[in-house]
Amino acid sequence: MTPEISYLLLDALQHGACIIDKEYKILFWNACLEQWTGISREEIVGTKITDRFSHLSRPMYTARFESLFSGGPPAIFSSQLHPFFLPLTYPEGKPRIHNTTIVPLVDYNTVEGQLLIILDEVTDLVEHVTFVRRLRREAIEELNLRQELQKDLEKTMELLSIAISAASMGIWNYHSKSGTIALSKEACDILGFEEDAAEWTVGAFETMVVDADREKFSHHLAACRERLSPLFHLQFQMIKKDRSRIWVLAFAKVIPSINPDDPVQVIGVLFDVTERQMMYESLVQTNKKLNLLSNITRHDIKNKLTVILGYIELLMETATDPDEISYLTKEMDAAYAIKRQIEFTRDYQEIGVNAPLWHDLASIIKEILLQLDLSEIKVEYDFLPIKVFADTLLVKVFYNLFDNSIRYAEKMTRITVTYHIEDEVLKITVVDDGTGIAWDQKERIFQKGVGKNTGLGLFLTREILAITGMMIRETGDPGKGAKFEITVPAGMWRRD
Amino acid sequence: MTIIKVDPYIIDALKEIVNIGAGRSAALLAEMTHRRIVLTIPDVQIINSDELCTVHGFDSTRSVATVSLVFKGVISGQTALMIPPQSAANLVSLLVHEEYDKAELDAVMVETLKEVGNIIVNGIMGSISNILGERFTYSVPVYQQASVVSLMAGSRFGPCKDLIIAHTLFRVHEGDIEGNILVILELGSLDVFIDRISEISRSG
Repeated sequence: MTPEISYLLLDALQHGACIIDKEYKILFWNACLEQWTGISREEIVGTKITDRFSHLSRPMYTARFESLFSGGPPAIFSSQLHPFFLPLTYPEGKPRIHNTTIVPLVDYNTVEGQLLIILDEVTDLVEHVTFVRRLRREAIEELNLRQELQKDLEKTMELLSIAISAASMGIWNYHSKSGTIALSKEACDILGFEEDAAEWTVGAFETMVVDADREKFSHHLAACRERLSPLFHLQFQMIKKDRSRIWVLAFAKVIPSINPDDPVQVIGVLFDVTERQMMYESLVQTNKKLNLLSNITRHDIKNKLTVILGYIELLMETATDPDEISYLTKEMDAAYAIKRQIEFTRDYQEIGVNAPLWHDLASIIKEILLQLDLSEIKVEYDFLPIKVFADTLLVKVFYNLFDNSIRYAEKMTRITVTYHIEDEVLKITVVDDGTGIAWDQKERIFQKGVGKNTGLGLFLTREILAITGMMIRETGDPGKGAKFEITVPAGMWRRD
Repeated sequence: MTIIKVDPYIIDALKEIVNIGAGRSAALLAEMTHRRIVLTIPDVQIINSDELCTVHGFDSTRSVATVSLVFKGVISGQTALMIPPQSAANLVSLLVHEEYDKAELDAVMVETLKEVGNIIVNGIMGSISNILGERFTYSVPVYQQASVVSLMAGSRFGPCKDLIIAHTLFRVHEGDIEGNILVILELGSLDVFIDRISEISRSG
């Protein structure tokens, strides 16, 4: 084959190809290389490849060229170790990554030799492999992360299982689609069943609820099923497998779903509270007795006070000595103070005696507005139907806050009651535009005995709220008005 | 022991020839990769292909990463670098300063291994060519996943041939990688090779 025909063939290749002689002089430069380098054959043939591309004169290249010139085996220059054997680019300037193979065109019977350099473009391949490597690395990282999370989850589940077991707490799960209630082993234990887990239809489960509580149970479950309530919170009596009765307290939450047509699932915990209920009933009885004693004692004291006050008034009518009148006045003041405190204890003797109830906030405010003289004061509130679960004396809380504003806030013109929700916690604020509370008094005002009247109002306010986990604090700016903030935890309030 | 009985000085001479080639290759690789590379051939054996299965610690049926080329001349055969795939991936990883989290070689890594194998095989063949004072014609190096048995079956040689097995130890940076360099010789080539080495030794 003549060199002309060989060159014609090399020109037809879709690979870069050039031929150099022992002096590194370029003898041939194919069409593909003209396109990839932008250097024409006429321009480059006859020049030394090591002059045009000076990096090729480094020993790591020349050693291999020399080996080839002296009859050594073909040489390969990989894209990873020599990505740019020659500076090849796309028209827009992006480098063309390539593998290079050099084959000696040597006639072994002569000293002269030539090398054929073939450049195979692998840009797409390298990019694809790099992409696959990245995907693989990310997948492995994701997998490792998932494995870590799985381990954490298993550990958490184990701890949760220990905690549930230690707390004698059963798990129950209602599924509206199947109409069933499933119980965990612990829940089965509570009801006297020996199974590791069990499932009942709602109807069958309800036969284990005592007659008196069955309707209440059904009503609560229906409220969750209809998505009217996000929470299930009920104490009721059940009949165990051995027909004995127990009190159970069930808390549960409706699993949130984006699609309103999805089946409803309610999952929660179940406690045996029989012992607690018995203690509660015992406490109620004790409280009733104490209240009775308190009522009788208060009644007797008030009778005696009436007698004392009557005699003081008689003495005041006849007294002429200024010292005597002064002493009688002080006695009368003291007697009236005792009377106020006795009446105050009557108002608050029911704290914690009765079970907490759901209170409609708007109704409470309306009730207070009827009780207090607020003719000079504007009261603003904008309650949507919000209910809070609190002691039966919740109305006293708001009454006290309003009464305090009227009693102590000078030049007050307005009381505003608002609410907002933060992370499922309800925050109610009662704000006035009076003189406010000094910085050093903000916490003191909730202590017993602090205040201008009985000194018990805000103390008992905090106590009433604490019964169902609510908190109160004063956060207003002194001089700009008082701001009482009541925090109602999740589960202790709802929208109706 | 079924290994072909060859005078110990021939084995020593072979070991030296292979080590010279390996040393040159290591120097070139070190310059290319800017890594400290040591390539040693602690052990060389000459065996007949029928006795492959008897060589201790050498699994001739195990498929490994192989870079090989065919040579023809006064002696003819095939020279190959054979490394287990995981070790091959580690070797490439050490040479290109990149961490690979895979046991398999991808297309880009194969090209790199092909160049590494090419440099080592060329070093060995250069050394053999120099010592014999002969030139050879060579094929272009190829990469394949192959066992020694399949490599021999795929060649154009007849059933009777001899092998020079050079156990190869790479130390790249702080990592050690083991492999083998095989020279599979066409029938009659081993005798020529040994005779030529003997002559050279005698002539001093």
